[in-house]
Amino acid sequence: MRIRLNQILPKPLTNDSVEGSSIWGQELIFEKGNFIEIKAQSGQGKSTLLHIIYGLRFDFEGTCEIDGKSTATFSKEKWREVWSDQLSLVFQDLRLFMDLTARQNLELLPAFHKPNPDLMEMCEQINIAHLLDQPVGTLSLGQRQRFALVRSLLKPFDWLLLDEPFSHLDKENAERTAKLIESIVRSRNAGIIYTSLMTHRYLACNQSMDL
Amino acid sequence: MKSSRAKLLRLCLRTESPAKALFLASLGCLLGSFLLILSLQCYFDSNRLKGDNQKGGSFVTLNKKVKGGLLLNLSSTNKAFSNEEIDQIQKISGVQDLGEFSRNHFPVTVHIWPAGRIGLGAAARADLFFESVPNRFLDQIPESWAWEQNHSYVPIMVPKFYLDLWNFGLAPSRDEYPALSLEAATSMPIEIFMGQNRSKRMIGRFVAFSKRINSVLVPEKFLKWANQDFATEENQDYFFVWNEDEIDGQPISFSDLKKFPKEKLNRTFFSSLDEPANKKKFNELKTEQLRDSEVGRLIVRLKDTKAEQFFKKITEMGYETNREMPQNGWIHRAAIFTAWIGGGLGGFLSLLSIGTFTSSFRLMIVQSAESTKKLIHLGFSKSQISKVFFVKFAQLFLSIWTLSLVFGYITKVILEKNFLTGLGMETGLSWQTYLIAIIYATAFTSINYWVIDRAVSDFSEKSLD
Repeated sequence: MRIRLNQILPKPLTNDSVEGSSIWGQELIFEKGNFIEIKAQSGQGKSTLLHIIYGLRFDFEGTCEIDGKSTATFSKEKWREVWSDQLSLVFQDLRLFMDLTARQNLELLPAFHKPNPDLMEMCEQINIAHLLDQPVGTLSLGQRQRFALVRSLLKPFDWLLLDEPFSHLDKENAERTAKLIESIVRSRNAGIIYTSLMTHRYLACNQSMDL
Repeated sequence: MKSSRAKLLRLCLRTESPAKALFLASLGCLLGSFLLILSLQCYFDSNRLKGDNQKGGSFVTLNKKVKGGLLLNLSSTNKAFSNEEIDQIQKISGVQDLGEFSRNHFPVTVHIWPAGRIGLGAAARADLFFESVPNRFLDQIPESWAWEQNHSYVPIMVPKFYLDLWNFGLAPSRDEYPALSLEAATSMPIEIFMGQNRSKRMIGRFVAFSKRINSVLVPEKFLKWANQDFATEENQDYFFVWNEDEIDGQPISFSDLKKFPKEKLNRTFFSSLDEPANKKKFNELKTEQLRDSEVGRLIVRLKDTKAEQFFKKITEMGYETNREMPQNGWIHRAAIFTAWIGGGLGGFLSLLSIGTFTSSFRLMIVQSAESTKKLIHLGFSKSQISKVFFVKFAQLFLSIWTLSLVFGYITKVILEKNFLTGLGMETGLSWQTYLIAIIYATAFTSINYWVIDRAVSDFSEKSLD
């Protein structure tokens, strides 16, 4: 799966604010298998970029293409297909179901053909296995963030989109989680586009861009 | 603990149901469905009963009015139909067919053995009469109706309400007589004693119960045979005897007249009690007597559309009809009217409940809009989400629908047992009612499915915009 951003300029952003950006108003091609880091400070449009790629926002100039086809022309059915099988996104607000237990949140997803490692192994690797049967509403933000990441890894995908995936994690847990993500994404020969503040880099990347 | 995905989806989309609105919708739906089902059943029963009574048209029996006191009624001449009268009746507009009743000319006594065997238990004994009509006027012709002289028993058909009179009148008042089902009644042996001094004994059985003809019917062939062999001089019409130009003494019965010397019979005039001035020769009297004994009652098949004209004409002619038929028509119209009113009210309540259901479910969908959005973005389809709400609706509606069918069935059975006995209605609900109830449920469910699907589409599309 190939993603092409062609002269994208989100409407809420002014020309002044995008000046010097290596993404806005540029032509970029992301090939499957690459790890892309998007760095920016708050309010620069990191989430906006991921939402544009994920098809949640269309208020921009330019075109976003997936496999050579403008996402603006995608039907609703095509988007469902993309969300179900090709893209997996961890939102900044995580979007977990607070009344459900962590396990229920993970089991809710349409079964992915033999996820490897399995759910329990993933949770053990990032120290959240003991929390599986607790309602998500009772967990800390860091714990919720790790469950949201596991949920995104349980889905099939060609690209994993992560919106500040380690923002609530301590260094040790962030490293463990990054290791898990990296191993799974590489084993599936998929790619990652992740956003981060201008701080520590936990995930390796082929390409790092300032927004 | 592993949960099924459907259950998890239900948990995700769980919202507080608008309990009051759903309760009102359920109550309206239950009442509406129940009224619809009962009205439909009333409509089908009424039409079926009308059809049973009027297969191929309305059937009416006719006889002359019996007037006057005892002395006048010693004459039978005014009770029989003449050929001219029969011709006139046949010419009345609306008459499709006309048949004559034949009756027995010999005494008949029957012993009915309700225990199922002759000599077992007590027998109900009665002096009876037999009549026959052409088979085309019967509402049912069982195989055993065809009678031949060598047959072991005589088939008898009585009105269905005779059985009801037995079951609800005679049997409860007499310990020795059991109540009889249709099957038991048809297997009872009946001893038939015919002729003077009960000279002939035969065995009979009830083979059918007519809803059309109020008489004790036997096959025409049997009655003809029995009349030939056992007819007695039973005619007790009385006549004045004229001597010269004066009536000579008290009226004399027809059978006594026959004892006059032949010479006297040929030269004497006679007149009936109701027309004393109308003098007739004995031979004329004899012809009339023979005809009178043949045609006492008529059965007429009418076109439904001309029935009212027919009854008007018949009343003008001074004849009596079996009043059951017009009454049946009135009952039928009343039943149909009731069915329409009940059905209309049921339909109205159902429509209201559809409205309340749809608004309640829309509200639930609105309340779960945020969860719907999350699920759509996780890759769930609109139909997967609609299904959660639809299953919830379908469970509720199917319970109500089943309950209304059960209530309808029970009500029908209670009505049958307490108020509609003897009409020969089928037990419970008919297949037509079940069929329409299924169509109604399908329509109700489809409308709600469409509304739920639309509402979910609205929110899922908003998630995509």
